[in-house]
Amino acid sequence: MTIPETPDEGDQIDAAPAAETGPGEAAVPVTYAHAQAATVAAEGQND
Amino acid sequence: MAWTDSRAFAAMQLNTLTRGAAYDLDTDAHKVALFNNSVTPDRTVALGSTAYNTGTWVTANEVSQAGQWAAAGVSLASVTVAQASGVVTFDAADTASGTAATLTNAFGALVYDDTLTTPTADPGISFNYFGGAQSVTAGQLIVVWSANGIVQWTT
Repeated sequence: MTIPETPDEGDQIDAAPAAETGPGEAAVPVTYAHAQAATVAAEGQND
Repeated sequence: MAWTDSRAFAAMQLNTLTRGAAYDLDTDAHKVALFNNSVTPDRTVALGSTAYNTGTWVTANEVSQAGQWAAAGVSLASVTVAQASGVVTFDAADTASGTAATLTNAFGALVYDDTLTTPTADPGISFNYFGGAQSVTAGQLIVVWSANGIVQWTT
């Protein structure tokens, strides 16, 4: 029979690993603001 | 009034042609400041009223968040000015906020020259409409420049 070991006071207990974000998981929301170009047409050239 | 379209400032073009202001679009530093719908964009105003924090482009109308899309704007990166088939295009890489931005009701952007100090500091180049209100909460706002660039001149 195996007796579970109980850490003594002062023993280091490793913390659970931090959650990792993998591909396909939720990221921050992104808003794409599509800016319209300022277009300048030169008219009045020689006809 | 409100946003209705995108325009290059006439004063920018006039002062470039007459050497009234030393705009250097491909080497100067430029910034993109966001504005709400309280502005009255007007391409015909004098150079002094095109500048950041002047005219309608005052900070009271600006949409910003420190560390995300700071007041006075985000720098334009990878700026190009090129001509092809008689069409001259001023363009840059898309401009992004930080990834923890909360920005509300940005209707458009003022693109201005952050290098020039005379005869007016921070004179405008263009104002570019987003077509409506754009907002983000705890996320990222990316201004996607048109396939026609920020400003395009057809000669």
